[in-house]
Amino acid sequence: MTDDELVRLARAGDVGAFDQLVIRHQAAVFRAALAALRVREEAEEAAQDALLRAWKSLGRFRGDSSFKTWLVTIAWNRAISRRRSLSRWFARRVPLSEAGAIALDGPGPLDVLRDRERARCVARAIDALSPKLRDALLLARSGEHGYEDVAVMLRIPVGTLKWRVSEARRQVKRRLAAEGIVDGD
Amino acid sequence: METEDRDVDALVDRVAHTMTGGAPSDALRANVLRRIAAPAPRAAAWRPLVAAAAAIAIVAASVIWLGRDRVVVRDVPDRAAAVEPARDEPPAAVVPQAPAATVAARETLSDRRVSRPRVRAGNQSAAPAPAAGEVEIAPLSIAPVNPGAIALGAVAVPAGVDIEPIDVRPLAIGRIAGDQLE
Repeated sequence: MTDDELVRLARAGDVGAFDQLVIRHQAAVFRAALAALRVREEAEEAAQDALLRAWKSLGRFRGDSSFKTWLVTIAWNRAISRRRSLSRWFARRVPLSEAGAIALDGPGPLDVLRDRERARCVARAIDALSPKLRDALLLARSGEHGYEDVAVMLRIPVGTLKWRVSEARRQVKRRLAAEGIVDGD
Repeated sequence: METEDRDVDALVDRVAHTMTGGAPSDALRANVLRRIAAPAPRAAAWRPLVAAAAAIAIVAASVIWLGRDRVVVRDVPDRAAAVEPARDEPPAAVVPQAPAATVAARETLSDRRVSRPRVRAGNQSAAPAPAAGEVEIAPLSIAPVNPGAIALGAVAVPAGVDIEPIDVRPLAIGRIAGDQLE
């Protein structure tokens, strides 16, 4: 069954149909919230709010974009609103050790250690980006959303989004070069 | 060089992916379904009631506050009452009919009068008895000023200092110009 068919059923009050939509898209919703909030618990709360709001607002879904984009945009807005109201979100980001645990190719233990350290530095550099650049990079690289979807979520043109992702990468690299992690030439 | 650049890009992308990685817990879906199945929260029903109660409380507080101000005006004797102490009706009887703008004016006026009522009371036999808790202040008696009694001759004035005249030479414009040229 397609998303559109499930949406039609859900609009008619079929909770089972909406449950199917939740199963399909909850990961994307969660990742969007996590990109904004960076704390799993907060992201789960925001995702829950977003899914509930989507259920209540199904009547307003006009089909201009895909259901997934509409849903993820709601999640993003909820997460951003939550982020604004959280004064402590800066202090409770995803522990950097998680970024350090990234599986990188390396034949020996020393290489693994070196790559983990590099990954930690990259995570720190991403953290230090401005929210606009960081959001663009994290959403675009979350693996859940295409550029078109992210552009809709952020309400910016695709070209602007691509520039932000590229600029984010450039600033991360510049910071890594300043720290001597990579060559800056 | 380009290879390393691409490697760094790839690393940045992978770290970014990891930072937003992970799947939501199973509780997410269950909680959403539970909240959908649950009846509308009661809080939503009381919100309008709470808002209405708050509005009523604000209005009531404002009315009480304004009423309190009027009482203050009533307590202060009117200027007319000071001139005509025999008048039976309290001067404040007119106040409630006064427009709002004049009430404010009366309030400022009444502030000025507050220090005077007891002086008037001393001149009037019809002064009201002090209420419990009020302090009775004796009427002030001010002696008339007699300018003739002030002995101006007794005031010692120090002698003035003589200043020698200053010799100022008249200005010559041609000379000034000459000085500037030099």
